[in-house]
Amino acid sequence: MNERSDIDRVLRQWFDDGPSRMPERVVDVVADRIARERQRPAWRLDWRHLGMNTTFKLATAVAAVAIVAVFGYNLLPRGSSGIGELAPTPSPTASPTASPTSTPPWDAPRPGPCGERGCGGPLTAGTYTSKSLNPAVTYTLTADWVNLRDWPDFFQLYPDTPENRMLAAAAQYPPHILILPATMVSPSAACAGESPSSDETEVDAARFVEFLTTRENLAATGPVPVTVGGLTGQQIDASLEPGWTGCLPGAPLGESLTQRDRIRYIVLDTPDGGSLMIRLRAPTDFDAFVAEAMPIVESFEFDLGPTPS
Amino acid sequence: MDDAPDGRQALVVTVDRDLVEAAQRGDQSAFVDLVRSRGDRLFAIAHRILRDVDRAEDALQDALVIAWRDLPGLRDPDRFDAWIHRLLTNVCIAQATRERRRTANLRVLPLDAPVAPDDLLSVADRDQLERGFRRLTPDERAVLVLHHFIGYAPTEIADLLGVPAGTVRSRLHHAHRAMRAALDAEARAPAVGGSTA
Repeated sequence: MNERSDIDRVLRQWFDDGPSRMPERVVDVVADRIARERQRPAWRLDWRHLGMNTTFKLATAVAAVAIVAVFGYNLLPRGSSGIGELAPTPSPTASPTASPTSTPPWDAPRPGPCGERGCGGPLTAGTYTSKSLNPAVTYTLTADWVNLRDWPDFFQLYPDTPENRMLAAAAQYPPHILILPATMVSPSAACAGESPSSDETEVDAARFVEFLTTRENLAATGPVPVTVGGLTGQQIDASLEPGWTGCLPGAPLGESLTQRDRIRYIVLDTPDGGSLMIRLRAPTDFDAFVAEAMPIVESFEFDLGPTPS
Repeated sequence: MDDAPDGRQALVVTVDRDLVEAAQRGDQSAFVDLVRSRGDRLFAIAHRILRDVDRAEDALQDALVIAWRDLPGLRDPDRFDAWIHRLLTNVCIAQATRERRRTANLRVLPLDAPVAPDDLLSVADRDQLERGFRRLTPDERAVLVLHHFIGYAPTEIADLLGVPAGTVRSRLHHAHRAMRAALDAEARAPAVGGSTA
């Protein structure tokens, strides 16, 4: 017998000899603990988990290289093909941000995979209805956007630009519109990467505004009353106080804001007593992104079923 | 052709998938059923890595609570076993790392390892294996257990732990060498007359 097979055999036997029965109390303890532990919604895990799979990392790297190459090609001088339906982003560069072409020349690199839970993918101007989001939303685009996620509890759109595709492929945040069918807040600390707090509660628009405006280290602008798709609610813009470099304890959605982040929250009260949240977030050029995104938000119509009598 | 085995297997897979999906939707009793069906195996893995019943129990509890918390994010319910093996292994590695720092300056004492009666390993062999194993890094311990106890191939371990397959092979190689050296030390011990510490 050679050395290798000998150590294999020894280790196998040694490992096989140990205890192999789980103490029954483990079941009781775990049952008790999970009764007090809320599950994390799948969307909260999504960005973090995107980078964990080796195959996905490779695919991301390839996609990023392809996007950079195509983006570089796109910067080469050539005639304009824009048809100008939207106010352009006030960028002094030749960046094609928000370029409303119907067949962009950089269409070759596709956005990242939808995953098993679905998405609409790249969309041109037109009216669309979500397939999985509950409640379904119908919306109108006047330029090219990507529907990155269309899940029952998570719906996301971002402007279809090479930069944004690259950010999405690298599991970073492109500027985006997000719809969540419930508005959750957590009074205790819930920075990204930490254990989620177990005190999350669903709130209506008024309570969300109250929650947000009483957070320390958060600068809020608003609130202003809004109506979207016949639902009334509150709109409030938020960013970190200047100089605050930590995460934001108690931030809605348990996300860490950075100094450059600005977020617009629109919380709409629903007839069943709940609420849904629309969120606009952009790491740069927030005002330009809001100008581009708000017409889409204003086109939202939610299928909330028959109004309860 | 007798298709009963395939049929049973399909049924088991379907039932398990149903349980995982129910647990993903927040069904606590479905999750407890999953714990009952997997618990012995998971506890055994934790014990092999941590070499201590109490710490294995703690690690298993923590891993199961994390599993419950993050279960909605599991995209393919059929991958539940590999997913929870990864979770548990990572919890064990973290716990072993903490423990290793805490006991870095302590001497390794003789162990009361259980001994099977018709064993090809002597008590001295086991003692040396235990000592050798405890000298391994937590990552090497985990790789050794996943390979020899669970039977995962290096490429499967690489996928599970999110490290390159070459890294897994390197850890296995080093762990094998260390364990073999531990056994060899035991064989030489009477000649040099020393005891290990």
